[in-house]
Amino acid sequence: MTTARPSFGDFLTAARGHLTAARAEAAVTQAPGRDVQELTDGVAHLAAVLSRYTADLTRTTGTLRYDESDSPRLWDRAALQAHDALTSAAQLCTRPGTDPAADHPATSAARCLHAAAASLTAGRDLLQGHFTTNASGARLHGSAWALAVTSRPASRALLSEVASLAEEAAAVGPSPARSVPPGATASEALSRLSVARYWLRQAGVCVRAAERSEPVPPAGRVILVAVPANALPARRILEGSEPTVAELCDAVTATAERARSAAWTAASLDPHSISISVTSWHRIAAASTATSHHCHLLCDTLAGRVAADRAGLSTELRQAAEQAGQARQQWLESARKFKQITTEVRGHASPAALEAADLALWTGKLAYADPAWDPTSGTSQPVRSAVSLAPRLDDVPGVVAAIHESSEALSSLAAANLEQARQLAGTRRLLVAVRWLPENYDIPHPFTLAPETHAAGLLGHCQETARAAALNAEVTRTTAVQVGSPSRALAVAMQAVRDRPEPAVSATPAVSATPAISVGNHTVDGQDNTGPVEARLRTMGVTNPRMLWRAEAVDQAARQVIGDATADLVQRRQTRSAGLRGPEGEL
Amino acid sequence: MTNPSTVRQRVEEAGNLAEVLDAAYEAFETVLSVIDGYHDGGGPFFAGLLMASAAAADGRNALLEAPSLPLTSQADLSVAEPESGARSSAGVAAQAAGDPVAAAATVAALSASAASGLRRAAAWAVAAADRAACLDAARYADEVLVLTRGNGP
Repeated sequence: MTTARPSFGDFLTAARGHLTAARAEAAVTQAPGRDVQELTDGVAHLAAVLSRYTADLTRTTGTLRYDESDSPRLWDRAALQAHDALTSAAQLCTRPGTDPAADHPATSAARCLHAAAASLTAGRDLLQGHFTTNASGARLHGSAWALAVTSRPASRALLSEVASLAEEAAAVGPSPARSVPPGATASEALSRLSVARYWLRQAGVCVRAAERSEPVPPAGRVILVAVPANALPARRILEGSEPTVAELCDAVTATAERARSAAWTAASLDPHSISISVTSWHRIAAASTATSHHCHLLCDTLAGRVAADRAGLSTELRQAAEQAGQARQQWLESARKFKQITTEVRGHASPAALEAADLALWTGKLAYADPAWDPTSGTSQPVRSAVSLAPRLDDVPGVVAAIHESSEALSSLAAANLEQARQLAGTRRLLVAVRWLPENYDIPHPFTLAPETHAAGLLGHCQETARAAALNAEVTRTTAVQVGSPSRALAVAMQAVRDRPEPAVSATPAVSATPAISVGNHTVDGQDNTGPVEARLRTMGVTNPRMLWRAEAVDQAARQVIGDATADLVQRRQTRSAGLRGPEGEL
Repeated sequence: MTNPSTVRQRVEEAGNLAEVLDAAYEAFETVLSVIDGYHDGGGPFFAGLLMASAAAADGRNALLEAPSLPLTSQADLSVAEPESGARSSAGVAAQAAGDPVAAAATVAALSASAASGLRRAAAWAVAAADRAACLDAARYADEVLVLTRGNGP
């Protein structure tokens, strides 16, 4: 991922820098009474921000459905305890009727504490940018990164970072020699600061205990620091000069990211959306066939490039090339199927279709020798030579990143097509033209509902394409990690998403790219925990995360109503029983 | 597969709106068949033909919106075709499958005829839906033409 966007790691690093500076500055305070008051306000600000992180974490973990004996309970408990500790710290430090964030302290150490709090606020905003809420206030995943952020490794890594920051903040305090309170106000502030520092340390203690039992997986921190701002990179436009390979890789990466985002949106659309059309499906399939072919060529060329120096990598790249070839064939079959079906909306190419076409263009320019290559280039095109593609071995990871990013995008696009086709099949909105049917169909309209065999055939092909594209992404993911490519963090994040145990999550576009695995997870988890509405949707083959979240919310609301009604009934019975026992009992 | 030359002739000789719509529809179907027969993974015109297929399907589907399009094909099945040789249906199919450049040329010629015929028919159309269908389909035929006529070195 070579796009220069801020990532969560940037804010984390900045916050740590400010805290280190705060500790140093606290040792040289000049006006003890004022300093103590300002330090206390700074700690209050920081603790309040940290408690928002733990609130997010407990909100996430609170919705997860783990068995009592399952180990994640340990981390859930740690998150809750840390949240309580941080909330206590924030409340104890805050002077009644004041807003610690609004202060403009004169003390350097306090300014550093506020700066750390500001960095962490921005970092949290960055993370929250990957979530949305629906009309009923339910929290939804707004991107594939949201799934990575709430994956087990990243959640634990985040809690561990929060604990570490709390510990660092607890270490910031006036030295005993310089903290002589000149008056009652300062004395009170010092007292509040001492208690707050205790609670900050306690937050660390809770989390460290969990860490000792179950360490944070290394992938967690890799994911966490890499989470980018949820803002699309600009669409790449070909400019006059001949692009270098590095520029082409950058363009492929940016376009792949745009395509993934568009696929995510496409997979979350309501089935009645006018943005769902056979035109988009067909164009995505055609462009993705070409992109898969280009990835096949690129893997092959790279395999030849590294054959002499890194035989193992060369073998992996050959396998990736083969997998890309299989994905290409499935995309081609899908494209053929889309010719035999239509939708109520036609002629509308979605953003996902446009991004898919761009991806085919940029991967083609990278794969072929002629930088002017485009899909209209007619005659036989020589493939870019290995020396041109990666003059030095150090250039290989950059090209691998481009291939990997493209493969992830294709996987998302295939999953989005599958999801939309399922939605339309489920709502009986797949059509055929009467002209395409045998003459014994006597229907006086140009279109009619697609026969079940058509719909089933289409879904089967979409499913196979999604499976092949997901396998291709998985293979390139491994290679990206192995060569240390710039897309390594994305690979780790997508792997964590794929490994998530939660059924609601495994149905999202990023994971439904591995339909067999997702379906397996749904069945096992659905037996004990899934409510009737969500279970019904899953039986129908619905994997749209938005729909599943809504279904889960309906199930939860239903459970709540039944619970409330039951409690009410019990109370009434008890009251009536008591009433009956009262005067009559006495009689 | 219908002989592309016969289809082109039908488009060019169509004398009224319904005939043009029907013939153009068949032209798009023929384009799809020619591209379908092209299985070579990665030769000349690979990406262009793939994308042209999607555009041709859109063009064909656009024509389905035209109220004047006959519900069933009006193609004159009695049109005599050469029994063998390169100009027969089988010959064209085989040639297209084996030679992507020939396939692209066939597709480009068919789409050019369809685009021209549909623009001509749009002028005849009284109903707005017919006119819109003709112009939409002509636009898709243009797209197919751009993708398959070849502008590379």
